[in-house]
Amino acid sequence: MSAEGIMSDTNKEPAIELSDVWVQYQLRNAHHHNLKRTLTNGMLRRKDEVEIITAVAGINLTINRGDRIGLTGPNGSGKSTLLAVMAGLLTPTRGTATTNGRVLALLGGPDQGLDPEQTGRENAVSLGVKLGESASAMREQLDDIKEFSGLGGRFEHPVRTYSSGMQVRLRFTAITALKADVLLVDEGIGAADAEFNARAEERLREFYETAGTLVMASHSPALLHQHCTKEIDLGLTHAPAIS
Amino acid sequence: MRLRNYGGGNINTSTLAKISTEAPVGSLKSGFADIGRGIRSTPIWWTLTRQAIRSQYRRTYLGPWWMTIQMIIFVGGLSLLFGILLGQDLKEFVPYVTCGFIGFNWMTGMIQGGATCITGNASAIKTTPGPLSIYALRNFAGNTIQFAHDAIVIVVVIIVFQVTVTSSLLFLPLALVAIALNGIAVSLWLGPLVARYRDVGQIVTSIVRVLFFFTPIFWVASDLSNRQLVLLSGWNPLTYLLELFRTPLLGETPSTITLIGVAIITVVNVTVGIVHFSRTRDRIAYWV
Repeated sequence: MSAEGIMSDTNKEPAIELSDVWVQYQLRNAHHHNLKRTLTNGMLRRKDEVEIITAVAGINLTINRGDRIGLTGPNGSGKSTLLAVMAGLLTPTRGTATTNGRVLALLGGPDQGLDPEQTGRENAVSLGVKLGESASAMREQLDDIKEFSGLGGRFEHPVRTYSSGMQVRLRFTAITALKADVLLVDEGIGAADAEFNARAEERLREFYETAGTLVMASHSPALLHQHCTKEIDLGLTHAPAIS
Repeated sequence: MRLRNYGGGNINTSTLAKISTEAPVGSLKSGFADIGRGIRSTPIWWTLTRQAIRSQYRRTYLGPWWMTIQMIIFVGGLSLLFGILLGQDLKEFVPYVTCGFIGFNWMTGMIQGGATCITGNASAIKTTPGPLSIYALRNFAGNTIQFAHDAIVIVVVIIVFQVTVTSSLLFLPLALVAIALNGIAVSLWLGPLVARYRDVGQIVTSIVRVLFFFTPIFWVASDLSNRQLVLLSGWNPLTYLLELFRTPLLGETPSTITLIGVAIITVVNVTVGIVHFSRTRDRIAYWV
């Protein structure tokens, strides 16, 4: 069956559509909000000064299927927040965000989602399960994951004995073993060695060359130029903070 | 919905998702949708909970059976201490304390776990897409697996102490369902509440600690006057759930007051759970 044959009109839908997306956090009086303050404020008829931090200000964006978007911008410009919105992790405080299809997100530190007591093999299964894959489907892929990660015999050892580069190898391989329509990557692949990074980049390329949608946030122009076709600089679109 | 298949294998369409988030937030609809997705992902939270328990006991010889052993030691000590202090007949007192404490432990485990089910999973909530209700369901599953290991002690005690089993045992499934529903519901409202107001977590710990004395576990309700009962335990929802759980195991029929109490508690708790979870669901990621 040709690829077109199994595609329906959902193909015409954009992969990601953000319309007037705002993400704003409240920071109360720069103190932690606790019960004592709530009670004393009530008694003293005092109000907390609420500072509003704007992480994403009115973003409008349509990302089509097969687009490869690089997000750049200075620290605090909202790259990671925007990825969290696209992944459905954060609901915008204003506006609408829609992501069509199955999303895989490589967010957080190298040990994110790993259980230190479990072996690499067991963690590979539970990483997939956390992302909605069945345990049996993950088990079928274990040989491939073991081979691609290059962990060899260490695949059977508890993850607490892994270096951070080995954690990166395990996590990247297990997550990208899943089928997905949209891949969200924050700050590249991570602290693995050059040999693995080269293969990991090859795997990313395989993913988007079959029309997968990629959104990658990074400070590295080289990385973004290598993988992305368009670049969005959030530093430029960022509106001033309002309160 | 059908989508293009990238890797050559088959895409399981049930795992394909359409994520749509829209402000204003906090509608019952988004809460129900999340809880529905949570229930449909039962294999996910069930597998993850079992794995978490296995790794908790990984470097021990007896593994999860430590839960059973710890329960035997605690219930044995408790029965002996209060049996002698209060001059009880141990043949009746040991099964009474065993059933009571194991039921109580299941319920308070879910309350305490429910209080931390959001804050304790902050990093997963910030990085792993999926329904948030699974954190409430994982808390339920973890405590229920613990309870299943403890329940073996109940069976052994009932056999050893020759407790007469009657047809009132038919009330037991009702008790299990009621406690399970209440355990999930309490996690649905308490988890987000603690994420928003961290003090509530501390309050829960203090209250659960004294509830042990205000629930009929090591003292017997029928020894007291009605007024004493109301003051001591009548206000405590756990009393009714525990009575419904324990009486069938000891061959007694639960009272009408117990049944009505459990019905009211469950309806209120489940309603509060669904409403509060729905209202806060879209803000939870901002609070952790």
